[in-house]
Amino acid sequence: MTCPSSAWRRVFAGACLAGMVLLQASSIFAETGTLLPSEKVGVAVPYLPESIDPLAQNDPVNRIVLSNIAYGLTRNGRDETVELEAADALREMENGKRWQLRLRSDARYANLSPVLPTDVVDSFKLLKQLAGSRPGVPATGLAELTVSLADTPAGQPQEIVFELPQADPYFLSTLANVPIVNAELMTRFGDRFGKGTNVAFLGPYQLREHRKNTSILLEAVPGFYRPGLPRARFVDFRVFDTAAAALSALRTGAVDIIAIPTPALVAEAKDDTTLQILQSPLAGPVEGGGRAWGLPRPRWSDAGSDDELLTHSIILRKTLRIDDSLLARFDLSGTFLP
Amino acid sequence: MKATLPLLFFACLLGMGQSGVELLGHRLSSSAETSAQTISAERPLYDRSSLRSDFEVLIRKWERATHFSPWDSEVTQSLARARLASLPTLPLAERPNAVCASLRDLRSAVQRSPQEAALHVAIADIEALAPSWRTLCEIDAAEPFTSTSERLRWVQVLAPFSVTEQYLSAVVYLALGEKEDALDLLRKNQEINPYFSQAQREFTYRLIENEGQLQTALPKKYPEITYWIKHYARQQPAALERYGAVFLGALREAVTDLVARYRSGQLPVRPFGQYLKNIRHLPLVEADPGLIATLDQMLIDVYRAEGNAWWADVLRRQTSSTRIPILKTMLADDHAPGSRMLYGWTTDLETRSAALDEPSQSAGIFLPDGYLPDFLVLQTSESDGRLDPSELDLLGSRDNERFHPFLPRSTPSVGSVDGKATLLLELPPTDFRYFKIHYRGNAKRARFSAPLAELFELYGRPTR
Repeated sequence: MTCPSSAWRRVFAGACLAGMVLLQASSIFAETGTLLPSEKVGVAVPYLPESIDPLAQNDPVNRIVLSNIAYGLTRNGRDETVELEAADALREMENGKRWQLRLRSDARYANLSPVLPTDVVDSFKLLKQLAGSRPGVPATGLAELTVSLADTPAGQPQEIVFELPQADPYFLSTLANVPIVNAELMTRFGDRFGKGTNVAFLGPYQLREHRKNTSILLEAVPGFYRPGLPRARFVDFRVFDTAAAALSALRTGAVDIIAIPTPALVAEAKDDTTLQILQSPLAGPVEGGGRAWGLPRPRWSDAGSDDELLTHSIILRKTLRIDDSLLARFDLSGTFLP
Repeated sequence: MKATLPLLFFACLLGMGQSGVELLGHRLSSSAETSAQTISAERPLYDRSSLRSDFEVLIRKWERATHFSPWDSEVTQSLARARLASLPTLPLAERPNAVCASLRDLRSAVQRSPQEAALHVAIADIEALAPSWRTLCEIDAAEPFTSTSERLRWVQVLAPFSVTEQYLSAVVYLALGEKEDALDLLRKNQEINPYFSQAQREFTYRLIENEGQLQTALPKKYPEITYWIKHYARQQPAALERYGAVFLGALREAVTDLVARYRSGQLPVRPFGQYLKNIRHLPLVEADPGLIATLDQMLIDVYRAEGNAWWADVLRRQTSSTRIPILKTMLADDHAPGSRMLYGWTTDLETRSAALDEPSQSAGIFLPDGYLPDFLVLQTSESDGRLDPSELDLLGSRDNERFHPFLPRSTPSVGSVDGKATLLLELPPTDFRYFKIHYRGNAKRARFSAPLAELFELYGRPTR
């Protein structure tokens, strides 16, 4: 690029310089895909579960945390679509009574050890045992499932076979709700699995801190297999005792999302131009059986008797950038504050 | 007397004639060898027509040499090899004749020298190349072998310790599609051939497609087995994990063999001790408590003989205790060791490296149910790694939220194992489930590092 030498030289030089700086800046944004992300996304919740339970799918907060730390072989998208997640190939056989899935080769746990097909088989067996040992836990479609390693030809990646007694149209959707667990760690943790930071799943975040009734801090897993994700380094779930404190924290930027608001909070947020209200990923019944959400705590301590917690709306700061497809299951790995 | 002189004269004349023929045969062979070397050395530079004429010259030379040395099986074999090597230069129609001529040459040579294993391998090679050789070459002579495989088995009887014939036989087995036999021979070859090259090893690795083939091909001798384990650890860690039992089985056989050689006096004590230490340091061994106990039991005597009574005693304690299958983690920037939670757990056998002397770093332990901890062994794999026990804080927790400092049961003892620093920390009776080894020194460069599996190990006993 050359600038004319004339009386206008200084003006042109300045314009050239400004143009080049803008060009450079736009190329940086183009490379990163977007603006620089914030370190932390804060989520206000009315309570925290005692432990992170891979099978307690109908506890909303447990489910939100699981959506961020525990992926399955498939993922439920919007409009009842199912996509592949930790699996990268699948074959349907015998009219849906037998499915063969291939695990993606770059899947790694938070401790960076590779996820092996034997892990998937073992984790399904362990979760089946866990479900069987707890009569109160609703069936997740695991009970009648047989999982084994396929007779894969030599030199080919090992595949996993799922056999069902009869074809199930919701089978792939069920897989999305069964987390892949590092079976060896789960066994070693024993009864303490899920308590504190004693968890071992495949997902974009790992559980870094779990302070009872106070907070859960998630940290991004290094080298997660989806490039560019997760965007924010931390997701911080904070317990607020009152709805007023949660809304105040949202307005002052201490948190960015109220995950389970009340009708009164939603009404107040409608009048705030810095906030937006979206349909919650928890809207509707729990996937796989149409069960209702089970809230361990029905309302904030300052809420009236008819101001119960809602699972169909979330309140967010307008400045939050959200990946809609990920948020479809309350996965915050595509969310950040510019 | 008069009658003996002409007889002597004739005998001398016959001897001179025979020597002359031998000399001529030798000279012709040398000339043919030179031509063969020229062709092999300059082959890439040849165009097809000049290569063909050179092969014709070479074959003529070997034919002439064969006339003068018909009893020399090597010359006949060379002629057959020259004919085979010339195949790509011949028109398609002429190739079967060349193959058959080679086969006939070799068959006549093997009739003269049936004990020559190389000739049998060469015949088997051609039979594998042209499976319908009987019809093709119109050979209907009675055969001592019912199949090519049987001929190759005979080679093993003739030359059970010839690494060349064994290797070539393995290659022919592969051409016949009999992979199991090929892998078995390649394994034997590795076990007896100290010059088995890296290229040959790489060739063998590539042949393995399943657990059965690995079982067959895996050498059961030291050090060959360690090359395989290290190769799989580096190139195919998932396969090493999947077939761990096969590798460990072979390793146990290799240790048994080492012990037998040592006890029979074939192996002096010093290399025996070193070999055991090398095996003990393989990360795979950590997955086999039985093998660890066997090795440590023998290493106690080795270290005592070397004058390292301290480590011999620690080893003795280790063998009489249980290595607890703890979960481990490393926590960087742990500026609040009393309240920061441990996370990012990994197994006790993690092979990635970590250092204990990074400023403000903590090593974390989760104690599974059913074990009572007794002592911790901290070990570096760096020869210059040093760690001052006074720079370490021990902390324990029941809930992974609040950590409480505690003192070891006795003064930590420091020693050296094969030139590498080692610490022994005795733990007091405790009901803590989470432990932190926090470094509060300010080393400029972390030196006390090792794969996590070896960096710290917790020993104790099961409570049920």
